[in-house]
Amino acid sequence: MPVSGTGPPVIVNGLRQEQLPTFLALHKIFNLGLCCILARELLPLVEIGFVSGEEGFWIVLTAIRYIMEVDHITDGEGQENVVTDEARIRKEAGAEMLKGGSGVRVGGWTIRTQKLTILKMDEVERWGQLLDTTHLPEMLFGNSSLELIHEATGIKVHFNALDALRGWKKEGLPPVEVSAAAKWKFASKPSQQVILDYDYTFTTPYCGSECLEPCAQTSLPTGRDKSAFERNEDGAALPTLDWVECEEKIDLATLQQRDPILFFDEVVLYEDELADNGISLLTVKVRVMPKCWFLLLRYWLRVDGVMMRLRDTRVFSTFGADPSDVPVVLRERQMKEDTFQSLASNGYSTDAAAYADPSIAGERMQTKLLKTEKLVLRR
Amino acid sequence: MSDLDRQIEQLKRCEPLKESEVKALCMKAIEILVEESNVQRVDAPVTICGDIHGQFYDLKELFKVGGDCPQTNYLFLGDFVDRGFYSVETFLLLLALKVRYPDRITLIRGNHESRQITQVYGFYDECLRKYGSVNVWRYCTDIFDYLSLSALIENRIFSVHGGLSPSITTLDQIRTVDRKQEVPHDGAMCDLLWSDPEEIEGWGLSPRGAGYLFGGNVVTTFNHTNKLDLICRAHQLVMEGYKWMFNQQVVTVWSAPNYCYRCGNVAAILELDEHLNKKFTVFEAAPQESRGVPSKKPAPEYFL
Repeated sequence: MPVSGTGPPVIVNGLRQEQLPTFLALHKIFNLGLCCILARELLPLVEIGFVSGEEGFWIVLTAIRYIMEVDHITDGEGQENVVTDEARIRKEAGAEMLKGGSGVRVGGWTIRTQKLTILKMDEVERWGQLLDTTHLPEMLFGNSSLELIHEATGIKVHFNALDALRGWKKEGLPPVEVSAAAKWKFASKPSQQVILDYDYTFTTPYCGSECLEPCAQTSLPTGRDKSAFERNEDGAALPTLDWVECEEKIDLATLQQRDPILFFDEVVLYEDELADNGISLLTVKVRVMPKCWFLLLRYWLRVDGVMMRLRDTRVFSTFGADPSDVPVVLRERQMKEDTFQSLASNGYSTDAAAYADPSIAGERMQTKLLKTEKLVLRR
Repeated sequence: MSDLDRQIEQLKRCEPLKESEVKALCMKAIEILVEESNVQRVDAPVTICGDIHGQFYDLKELFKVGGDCPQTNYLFLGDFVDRGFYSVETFLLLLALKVRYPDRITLIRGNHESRQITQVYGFYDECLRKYGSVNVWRYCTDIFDYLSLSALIENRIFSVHGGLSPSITTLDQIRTVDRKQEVPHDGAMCDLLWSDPEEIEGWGLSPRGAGYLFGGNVVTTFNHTNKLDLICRAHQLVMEGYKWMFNQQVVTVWSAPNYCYRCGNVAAILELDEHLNKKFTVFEAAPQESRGVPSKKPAPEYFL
């Protein structure tokens, strides 16, 4: 129910002044941006389980009450103010939204997401043939993607489920046994039994795809996937794209600045509930600011009571003074993994519900790999 | 209007009942459910529905396309709760209808109707959030233990949430299971709620090391032994809402459209007339504006 005040309410991006303390408390938990967040958008985050435990519960309850109030207000004048703010910020940054709000053009880059439904039965069958498998994630967003294209050079960094599943097939890990498996070993078995042994967790080393797109500004050949030492008809080496390990690090200071977000989106590439034994989820999210873009591709696995695996790929690029210069693109890969048993021995909870949020889980897991690479264009 | 009718109207508006009302409703439901067989007999015509998963507004859409209870006779194959935003309202509405019209709606147990699973996949948290205590979760999970394990329509169609079990060859063997307990981690009761059909010969063991997979020849034998035409089950998401397998000996029915509010799948219900003629009715998720959920656009995040 709206709280009536004297005079027009002061709205800070959808929140009134007096609601800020609660919002800030929530903000701390959610790690959400203050600038662009509208209070009403907190509700889905709450519902999908970003918050758990008693501590979060009361704050969330309060927040929901606020959301109901704020919703009422922002539907009127407040909403308009926020919209004009966004437009102004975009104009100042020289950014242009793509049609339908599915992306943005800024700093010489075109950044676009595509979010479509999970694949239909016939498409799944075709993918099965393509990947030589009869098992695919139950929620396969095969037509969804994120792509970032640098217009002047044709460098394209993109993310899709097919390439990720090619990685899964190639890595071919042995299956992880769920907690009930121990008991099943001693159960009486049917006389004839086929044991399936594919990696049902769909663990993938995938950290993105890259290629060179055809573009007008340079004499680069038409888009093809990177392949070193490829030659054109004249025998001259074709330009190639490679990731090379480097000393540079992703500039966290820039990323921690609360610059306005011109474009944000999250794309699920695939998800499997492991028949209610946990979760396997591959998503990529991107945020584009006036000076840079940043994305996180995350493979997250939790086999309840058994183990967790987190494979993060962060990619970052700052916009150069001249958008036609070859951009500096850094990629940080991090792999973490741990068993519930080792978490328990470190004194952490072994309750699966405590690990709904991969970021929190990640803080408790052992790092298996950490390296930074730079995208190198050789012409 | 009786209290129960008023509660049904209230639940149809997606407003949860008071804790004391839930308690009373559950007490009445137990009296009805305790009398049901593990293989509950169901008469045709009947409309069979698969997983709902707390998607309340889509359940309302289901009733819109399938007709209201009691005008339509319903069989729900379990997984009423978890994942969606409104497990409380969804389960309580179905339960209130069961108490009001016991012969016009049959609810059987899915693998999510379990204390352990609901603590991980949403129902527990939702109860805590909506009531400030876990009492409602306790009342509901106690009811789960009384839900029947399967249904038999006109002695021809066997309906179950998951599938078959290697320890069960006859329906009579299901009838002897002591079902009033939490879903066990193995054994016949577990298999009925958890197993999946798979394109193999005989039985398969899931790569997870727990969970059976049953092949086409297993179904042929089971149907022959028990003089059945068809096994109708739910449990697995299918993009088209329903999926035939093994030469139309098994069908999967899925009734949660746009599963988890983002899969974009359609849902289906299977309508059987008095001669057991089958008609699948496919439906889509309730339109965005008719549900209490905010827009899909994700909130910008300063993620690192």
